[in-house]
Amino acid sequence: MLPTLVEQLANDTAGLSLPRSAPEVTLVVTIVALLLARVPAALRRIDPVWIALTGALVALGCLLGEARGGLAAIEPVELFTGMLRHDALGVFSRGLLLMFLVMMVVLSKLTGLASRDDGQDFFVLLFGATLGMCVMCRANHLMTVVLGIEMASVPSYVLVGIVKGRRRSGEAALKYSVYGAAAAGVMLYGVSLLAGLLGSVHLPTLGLRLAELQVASLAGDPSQRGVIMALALAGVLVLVGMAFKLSAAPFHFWAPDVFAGAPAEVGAFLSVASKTAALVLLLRLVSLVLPHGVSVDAALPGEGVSRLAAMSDAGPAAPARAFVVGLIATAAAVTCTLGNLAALSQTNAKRLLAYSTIAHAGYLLMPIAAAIALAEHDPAGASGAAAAVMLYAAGYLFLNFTAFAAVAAIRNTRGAETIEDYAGLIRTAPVTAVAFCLAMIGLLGLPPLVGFWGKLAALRALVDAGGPWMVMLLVVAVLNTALSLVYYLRVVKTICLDAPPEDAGVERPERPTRLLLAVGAAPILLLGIAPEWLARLAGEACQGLFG
Amino acid sequence: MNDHALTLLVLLPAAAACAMALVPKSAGGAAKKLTLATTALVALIAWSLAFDGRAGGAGLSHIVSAPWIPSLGVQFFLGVDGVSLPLVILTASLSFLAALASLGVERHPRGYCALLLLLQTGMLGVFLALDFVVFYVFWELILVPMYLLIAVWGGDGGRRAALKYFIYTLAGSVLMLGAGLLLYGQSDLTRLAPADLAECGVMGPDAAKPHASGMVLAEWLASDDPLAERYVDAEAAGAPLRTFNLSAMARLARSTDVFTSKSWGGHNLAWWAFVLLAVGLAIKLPAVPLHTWLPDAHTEAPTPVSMLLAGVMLKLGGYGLVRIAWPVCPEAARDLAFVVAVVGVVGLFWGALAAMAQTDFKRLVAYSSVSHMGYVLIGLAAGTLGADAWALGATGAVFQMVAHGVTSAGLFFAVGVIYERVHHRDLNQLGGLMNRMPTASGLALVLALASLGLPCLCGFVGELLVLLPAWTFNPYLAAAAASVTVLIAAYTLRAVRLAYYGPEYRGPNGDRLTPVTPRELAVLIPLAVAAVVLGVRPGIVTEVAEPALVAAGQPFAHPHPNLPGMTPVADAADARRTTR
Amino acid sequence: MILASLVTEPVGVAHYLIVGAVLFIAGIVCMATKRNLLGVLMGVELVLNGANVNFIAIGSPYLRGDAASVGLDGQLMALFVIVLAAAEAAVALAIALNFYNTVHTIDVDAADQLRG
Repeated sequence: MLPTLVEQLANDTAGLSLPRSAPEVTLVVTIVALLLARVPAALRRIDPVWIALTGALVALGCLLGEARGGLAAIEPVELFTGMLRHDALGVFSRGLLLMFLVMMVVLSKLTGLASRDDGQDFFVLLFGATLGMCVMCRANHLMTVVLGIEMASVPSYVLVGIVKGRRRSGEAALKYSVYGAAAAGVMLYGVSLLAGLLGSVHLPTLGLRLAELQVASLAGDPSQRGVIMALALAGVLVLVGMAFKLSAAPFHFWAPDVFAGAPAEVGAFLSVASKTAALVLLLRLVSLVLPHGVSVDAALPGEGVSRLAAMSDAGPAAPARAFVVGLIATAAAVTCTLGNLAALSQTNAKRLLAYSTIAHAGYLLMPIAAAIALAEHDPAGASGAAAAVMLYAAGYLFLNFTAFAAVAAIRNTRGAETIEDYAGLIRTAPVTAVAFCLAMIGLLGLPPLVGFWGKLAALRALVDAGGPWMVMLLVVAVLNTALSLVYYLRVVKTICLDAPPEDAGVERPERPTRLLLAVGAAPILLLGIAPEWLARLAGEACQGLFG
Repeated sequence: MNDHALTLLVLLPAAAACAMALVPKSAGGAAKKLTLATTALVALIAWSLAFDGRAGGAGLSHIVSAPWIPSLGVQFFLGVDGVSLPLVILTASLSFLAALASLGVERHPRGYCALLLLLQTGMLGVFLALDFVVFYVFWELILVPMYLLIAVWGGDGGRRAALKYFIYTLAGSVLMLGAGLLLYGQSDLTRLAPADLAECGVMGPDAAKPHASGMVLAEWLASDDPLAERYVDAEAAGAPLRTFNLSAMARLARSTDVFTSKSWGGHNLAWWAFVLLAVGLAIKLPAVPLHTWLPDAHTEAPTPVSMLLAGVMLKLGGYGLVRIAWPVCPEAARDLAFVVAVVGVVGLFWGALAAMAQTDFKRLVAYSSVSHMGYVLIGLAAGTLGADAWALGATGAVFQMVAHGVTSAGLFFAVGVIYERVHHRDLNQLGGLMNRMPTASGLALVLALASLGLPCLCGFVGELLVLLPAWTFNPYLAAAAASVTVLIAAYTLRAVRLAYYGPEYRGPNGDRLTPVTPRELAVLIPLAVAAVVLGVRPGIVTEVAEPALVAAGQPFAHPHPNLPGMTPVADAADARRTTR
Repeated sequence: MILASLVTEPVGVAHYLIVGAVLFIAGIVCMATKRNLLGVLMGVELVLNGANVNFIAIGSPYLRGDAASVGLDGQLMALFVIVLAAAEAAVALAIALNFYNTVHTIDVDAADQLRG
C-alpha cells in the first residue's frame, strides 16, 4: 500500500509535475544562491544583481520552453496531485510575471535601490514574491490559493519598507502588513467556510459540488435559507481577500499610503505583478468554482484533467453566478469612479499613480464580471472576456512599469516626487519625459497606444455579455475615461508645457536608465499600432478556460 | 488586390513625422521643407484620386481591406466614395497650404512639423476609414497633436484653450465610442444578403467592385480568410457575427431590424446610439450649446493650425453624422430631425449674434464658423423628409462643409497675414489696409464675400441647397435660417469695413505693414480661386457627392408621415409639389 | 433557537464552527480597536486560528461522516496555516521593530504621516 503510494507520488512529481514547474524551481535555486553567495568571502565580491539576473533569465527561458509549440497546444494538466493546474493561462501569466521580474531586476539595479552590499535582500524578497505569484497563477486547490497569496504578500510587506531609516517607508510597511494580514485572515476564514459547506478543497470538485447543491432549488426552500446565507457569506469573505489584493473598493484604502511610502520601484512591482497574479487567480476561482453547463464526465482529482458535469440547462448555480456578477460589477464601478475622483486632487506623483492603479483595477474587473455572466450560455464569449482581461493586464504592465520607472529616475536626478517638480522635464530630460508622457497617455486609453486596445477589448466583452449590469458598467467605464483625462493631462502639461526650475541644469538620468525607459516605453507605441500578436496570445491563453 | 493609394495617403504623413526625429535639431528649415514636400505629395495623390474615373460615385472605391486585429474583430478597412472624396481633397489641399503657412514658424520647428503631419494622418484617416475602430483610432490620433500645437505654439491663453478643446473633444469621442460599441453589440453579418456583404467590403477589395461576379459569396466562404471561417462558424451555430464595419452597419440598418429590435426606456437601441453619436459629434461640429471650446481654441491657435481646425476638423463632426449617425439610425434621425434642425438654427443665430459683438478679428471668424456649421445640421435634418429632400439637403450639407472649409481657412489666413505684421487683431484699431496691402485685402474680400453667401461664390450654393428642403420641413425654421443671412452679412461686412476700408491705418506697428509676400499669395490665391470656382461650378462637388448620398439615404426615400410642424406628405411627388 | 439546541446536542461540527466564529470575531475586533501594535498582531493570529479551528472541524471524519468531510485536506490546511501564521507574524514583528526604531513607539495612531 505505502510503497505503491510512494512510487506513484514519485512518478507524478518527477515525471509530470517538476518538469512543468522548471521556472519555479529556478526561482528557488536563485534564492538559495543569492543567500549562500554571501557566505564565502570569494563570492561576496560578486554583485548580487548578476545572480539575480541570471536566475530570472533562466526562469524566463524555461517558461518559454514550456510554451514552445504555441499556447494553443498546451493541454490542461493537474500537477502535484491536484494542487496546481498547468494550462495555457498559467504559462501566459507566468510569462508576463517573469518578464516583469527581469525588468524589475534591471530597474532596481539602475536606480540604485538594490546596492552591491545588501542587494541580495531585495532580490530574495523580489524572487520570493514572484514565486508566490507564480503559484497563485496556477492555483487549483484552496491551499495553493491561500499559500500563493501569502507567499506573494509577505515579501511585499517587507519590500515596501526596504528603505531603512525613512519614517514613511516604515509606516507604509506597517499599514500594508496589518491590512494585508487582516484581509488574508478574512479570506482564509471564508475559504474554510466554503470548504466546509461544499465538502472539498479542490477547486474543480468545489464546482461539481456547487452544481450538485442545486442552489436554484435551494433558494426557494425556506428551511435551507441558512445554507444559502452561509454560502453567500463564504463567497463574500473570499472576494474580500481578492478585492484587497486587487485594491478594489471598498478595500482599496491601503494603496495610496503604501504607494506613497514605498520606493517607486516597489510601487511598480505591486501595481503590476501583484495585480496580474490576483486577476489570474480570480479568473481561476470564478471559472472553476462557479459551474457552467458543459457536458463532460467528471474525473477524480489527480487523475489528469478534472472537468465539470452538466446538470440542468439553465445552469444549476444561476443565483450564485448572478450574486457574484452583481458583487464584482458593483465593486468595479465603485472602484474606478473612486480611484478617478480621488486622483483628481493629488499632487504627489506616487499617490496619483496609486489612485490610477485603483481606477484601472476597476476597469480590469469589468470584463471579469462579463465573463461570469457569459459563462452560462456562451463559453467562447466568456473566454474572450477573460482574454480581454489578460490583454489589458499585459498592456498595463508596460504602461505602469514605464510610469514608475520614470518616477524613480526623476527621484534620483531631481530628488522630488511632487508633480510640480516635474515641470519642464521635456527640455532637461527628453527621453524620460517622452517615456512618462507616453505612459500617461497610454493609461488614459487613447489610441494608438496599447492601453486603448485593452480597454476596447474590455468594453467589447461588456457589450457581448449584455444586460443591465453590463450596460451600467459600459457607461461608467466610458465616463470615467473622460474623467481621468484631467489628471493624466495635468502631468503631461506640467512636463511638456511648464518652464523648468532655474536650478535644473542638465540632469538627465544615466544612459542605461534612459535605455531601460525606452525599452519600457517602446512597446507602448509598438503594441499600440500592432496589437494583434498580443491579442492572439491572450486569446489562446484563455481558450477553454470556461469550457 | 488592395489598392495602395489610400494606405499611402494615410501613412505617408505618419512616416514623415517619424522621420522628423532623424532631422538634426538645428535644421529647422529642413524640417519645414520635408513637411512641405510630404503634404505636396499627399495632395497630389488625393487629387489624382479625383481624376481617376473610379473614385466618387455611389459605391466604394480604392478599397483597402486587410485584417488588423482579428482577435478583436477590427479590420483595417479604408475606402473612398462620393461623400469622402471632396473632403479628402479638401484636407490634403488645406494641409499643403497650412504647411506653406507654417514656413514662418521659429520655435521648435521639428516638433511643430511632426505634430502637423500626425494631425494630417489623423484627419485623412477619419475620412477614409470605414471600420468603426479604425475611424475612432484616427479620430483620437488628432487629440494630442492638436493639444500640443495650441498649447505650445499658440497665444497667451493657449493652454486653457487647449485644455478645454481636449476635454470637450474627448468627452465627445467617448460618447461616440459608447455608441459604436452598442451598435457593434447588435450587428450581425450573417443577416446581410450576399450582394450587400460584397458591396460593404467584407469579402475583400475585389468583391466590392461593381459588376463583381455573383458567385463571390461561395468563393469567399471557401477561401482561407479568417473572417470567412468565423462567418461559417457563426452561421452554423446560429450565433451573430458582430462587426465594426460601418458600411455593413448601414446596410444592416436598411434591410434588417438588428438595431431596432431591442428597446430600453421606451426607445430602441438605434435611438440611443443616435443620441450618443449626435451629442458626441455635435461637440466637434460644433453645435450650440457644446461649442464653447471653439472660440478659444481657434483664437489662440497659430494661424496654420487655425486653418486646419476650422477648415477640416469641424468637418469631421459633420462627416461622422453623414457616414455613421444618419445611415445607421435612420428612424431615430427622422424622429429627432426637428430637434436637430432647431439646434442648427439656434447655432446660426448664436454664432452670428456673438460674431457681431466681437472686436477681435480672429474671434469673429471663429464665431462665424459656429454659425455656418448650423447649416449642416439643418440640411441633414430637413433631408429626412424624403428622397428629393435628402438629395438636396444632404448634398447641401456636404457642399457647405467643403465651401466653409475653403472660406474659413482663407479668412483665418488673412487674419494671420495682418497679425504677423501688426501683432494685434483689434478691429477698432485696424483700417485702411486696402491701401497698404491691396492684393491681400482684395483676396480677403473675396473670401469674406464667399463666407457671406454672395451668389456666384461658394457659400451661396450650400445655403441654398440646405434651405430648399428646409422650407418643406418647417417653414418657420427655414425663414429663421434664411434671415440669419442678414446677420451674417452684417458682421462680415462690418469686419471687412473696419479692417480693410477706411482712410488710413492708425493702429500700432503701422510701419510693419509690408506688402504681401509671394508665400502668402501662394496660400490666398488658391483659396480665393476655389471659392469662385465652387460658386460658379458647384457641380464639381455635388455631382460627385450626390450619388453616394442618395445611395446612403435610401431609408429616407419613403417620407415619414408624422413629422412635427408640418402637414403629412403622402409621397415624394407630394414633397416636390409643396416645394414648388 | 439554534444555540439552545446546540447546548443539548452531542458535540458536532456546528460547535466547532461556533468556536471558530467566536475566535474570528474576537480577532477582528482586536485588530480594529487595539492601539498597541502587538495587540493588533495578536488579533491577526486569532483570526487565523479561528479559520484553523474551522479547518480541523470540517476535516474530521468523526464529526461529519466520511462522505461530507473534507478528510485529511482539512488537517493539512490547518498545518500549513499554522506555518503561514508563524511566518507572517515574524515578518510583521520585524516591520513593527523597524517602525519602532524610527518612531519610538508602537502605538498605531503614531502612524499618521501618510494620510489617505
